[in-house]
Amino acid sequence: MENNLNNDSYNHNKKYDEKYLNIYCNQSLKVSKFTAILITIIVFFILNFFLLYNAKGISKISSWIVLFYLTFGFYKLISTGKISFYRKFLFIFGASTFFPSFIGLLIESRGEMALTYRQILLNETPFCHIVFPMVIFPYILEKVLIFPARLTGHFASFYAMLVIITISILTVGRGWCSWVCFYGGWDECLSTIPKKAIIKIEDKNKRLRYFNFVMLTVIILGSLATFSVIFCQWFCPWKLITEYEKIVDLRTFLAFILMILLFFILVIVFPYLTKKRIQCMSYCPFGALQSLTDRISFFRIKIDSNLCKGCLICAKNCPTMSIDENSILEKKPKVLITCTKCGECIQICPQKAIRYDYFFKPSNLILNQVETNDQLKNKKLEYGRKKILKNIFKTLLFTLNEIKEVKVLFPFSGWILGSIVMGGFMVDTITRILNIFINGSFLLK
Amino acid sequence: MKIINFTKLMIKIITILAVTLVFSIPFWFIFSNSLLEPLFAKILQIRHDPSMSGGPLIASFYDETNDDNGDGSYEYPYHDLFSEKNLSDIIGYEVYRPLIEPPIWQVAIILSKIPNIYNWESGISGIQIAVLIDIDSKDDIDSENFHIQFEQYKDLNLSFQKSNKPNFMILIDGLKRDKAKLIFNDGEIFFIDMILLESEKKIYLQIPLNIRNIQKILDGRETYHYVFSSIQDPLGVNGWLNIRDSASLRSGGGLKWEEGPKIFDLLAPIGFSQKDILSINNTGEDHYIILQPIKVNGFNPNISYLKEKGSQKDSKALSTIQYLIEKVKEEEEIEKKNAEEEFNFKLNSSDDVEKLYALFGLSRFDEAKILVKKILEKEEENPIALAYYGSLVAMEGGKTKNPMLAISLVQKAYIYLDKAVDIILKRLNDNNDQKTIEYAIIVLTNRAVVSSSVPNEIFSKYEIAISDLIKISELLEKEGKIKESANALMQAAILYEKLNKKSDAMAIWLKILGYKDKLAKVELELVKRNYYH
Repeated sequence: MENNLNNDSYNHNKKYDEKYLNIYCNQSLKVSKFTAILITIIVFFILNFFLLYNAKGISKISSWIVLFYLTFGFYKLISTGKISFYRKFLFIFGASTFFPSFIGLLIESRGEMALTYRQILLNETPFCHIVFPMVIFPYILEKVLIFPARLTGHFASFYAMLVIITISILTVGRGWCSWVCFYGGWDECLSTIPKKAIIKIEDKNKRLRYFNFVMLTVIILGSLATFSVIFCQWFCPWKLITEYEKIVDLRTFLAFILMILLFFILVIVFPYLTKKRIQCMSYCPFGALQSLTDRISFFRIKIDSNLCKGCLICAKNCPTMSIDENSILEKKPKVLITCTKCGECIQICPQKAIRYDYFFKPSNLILNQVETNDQLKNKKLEYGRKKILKNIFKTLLFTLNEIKEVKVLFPFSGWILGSIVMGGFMVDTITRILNIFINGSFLLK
Repeated sequence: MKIINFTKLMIKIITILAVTLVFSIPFWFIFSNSLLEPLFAKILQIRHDPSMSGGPLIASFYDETNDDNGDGSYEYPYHDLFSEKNLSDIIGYEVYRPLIEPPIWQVAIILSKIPNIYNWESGISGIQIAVLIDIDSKDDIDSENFHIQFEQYKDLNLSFQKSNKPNFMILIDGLKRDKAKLIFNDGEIFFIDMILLESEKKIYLQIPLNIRNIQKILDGRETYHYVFSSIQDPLGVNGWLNIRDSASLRSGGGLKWEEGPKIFDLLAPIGFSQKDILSINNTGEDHYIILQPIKVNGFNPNISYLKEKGSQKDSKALSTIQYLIEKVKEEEEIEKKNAEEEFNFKLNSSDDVEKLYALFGLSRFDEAKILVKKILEKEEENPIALAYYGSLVAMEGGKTKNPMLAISLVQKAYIYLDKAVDIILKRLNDNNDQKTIEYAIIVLTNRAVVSSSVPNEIFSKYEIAISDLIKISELLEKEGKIKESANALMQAAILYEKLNKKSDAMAIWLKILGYKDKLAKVELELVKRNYYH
């Protein structure tokens, strides 16, 4: 009796899931024009606040340029449904403007890129999110921060970064690595350039995919043993474009050589040859940490097993090899925790079987809502003066329903987070470029 | 059925949560500085690993500002290099706990001004600072004195008590960039790391503990330190500038007897004054003055440096804090009562400005707004009305929940506040009577209060608040209101601390220390910061 009930319930759920998935996935990734315009206006005002509130002189011009660039980019993303394509506009531009801005700021404040003892003494080193996994256990044991970052009151202070990381964990999760991280755009860019992979590494996907968990374990244990940020001292590939320890002895000299090698190998050469984001996928310990906390976030990428024909295009094109090929062949498609929610698979799937979704199961409520939206969409608006109010109401209802959908919510949260975190660097870099033409100097001070 | 309903409800709730969370992302950022970061800070209570900044601080000492005149009579040479005064004015000295990893023992000297110690163009580099440390003395004071241990300060005319004979000297002479000399009694010299922090006006010295003779301090023993400064002159004996009875282009002046000490500033231990130490002319066989060391207490080497949360307050300080807290409460009650009486009295005044002052003081802002508009209609450039109007606009900005509107209101408030300050300062230049001073204090206070209340990360107004508060303090001092003047300075020092400009804050705290009459709240802040001795 109980078994029958369970089976019934199972069948009901399965049927219901399938119905939901079919309706949902067959829908276009595009949103209606009205919704796209409305949500873009919201984005415009939010970014207007963050980019322009303190802008003066040349930076006002660059703030407007960035504001229009980001607003237009978002509109295209949301209205065309080409999420991954337009996401790159934000992500790659953000990463490429980060380093000139950051280096400029360093030179202005301390006269050089190298990290000196002065900054350590003053605890004025900018806090980098990659450091985060290393500071957790020393904090738990001794309540100390083993990184000389300013605690509060700075764009890159420890607590400011903690707020950003917390928001990202709750919203985009590991999507950080494709929407917010100001380093990731480098290997994204390099892996996008070649048309075909020169070296195919799909058969080694398992080992490569999980190597960053090994890195995470190593640096956590290392920092615990030495009470120092060993990743920054030895293994960080980003030092060449940010800041590095001044060469004063053999250790710092070897670390300098290693950081150059790591940058060229992991960020430039490997992504170009493999068309995969090697640094983010296999090396970055923060990415591994984000993978582990990804289950807290509201959004996931899901594959509909009914629609999926097993062509494996998604798995082959995934820049982080996060779609398990075997699971697709077994008709139980699975997206792994290493997924960075870049949307490449959603965009490329010929069956439209992949989508952004909430982590929880679909409900009748959502089902009804989707159905209602479909009905609303199919119903033509009625003409006539008296019908104007009715039409407005219908459109608003439709828009409200659409805004609740993850295909709007997720790109919105990713774009807003990415723009707030990287927007300042974009403005600063453009200001510096304009300053070269106007005042003949890259430095602003 | 019930289960299905419950699931539906849960899904609905989570969906609403997700939508709310996503659309609240901008607010997380907006309130990050004012709300979330302090909240995280309160919950996490994180502090930096002290080894990154040279170990935990185990002792700090303070010295008066502007006392770089030896026994009170010394003068700098006439050379242009010294036209800017207080070049060798030591105002603080810090000693950190020695560390095993990295193996260093750090001390820091705080100056009221950081001179260019590498300035060799004129042939005189500027200051020369010496720190002499005794690491193996007993506490008992011996009357027997020493004169010479090191060749380097032979010419300084100093002597030491036998029980506190220095083992080595650290000499900051600017001869090698970012390096100071560590000189042992036997003449052996090492170059040690010196870090000049101009923003902090601090010179950090890192004594390497791979030098065997110094490693003994890792056992946590007490040490004795002599810290003094003078002028560097490469042509002088051992690099010290000569001091004569009267100053010349290349020699200091004011030396009272031939073998007087060539020290411009000295860190005197508690219970001694610099003037007393440097002006005692021994009549015995040894004519040199006897320097008194400052004692640095030891530490427990069995307790990890990570467990020590900075220098602990002693029980005396804690009881003083308790006493002062009570006194602050009493003072506040009296102040409140007096203010209420004053406001009620002025409320009946026929002068609208006086009435406005009273309404504002009694927090009757709606009435104040009506009156302020009335005054401005009559007199467009009334600085008091403009200042109060600015404050009212800023208050509106603080109340509104729309961040864009809040920003524009604060910006609008500054149009009035800045205008009011410009007008009143102009009037103050023309007319220095009591009424104008009183009005200037009101106007500046309005701007200072708004500037210190709005988030600095967005508006960057703390610097304005500080300069206003310093100006207010000067005006109050002119009016003979010393306690209030110290209070205004205290607010400025606190804002400097918020800006992380510790040495600027310290300079103000030391200035406040010099005030004879202080409010209990000012004394409380001084005690909290260990300035009580």
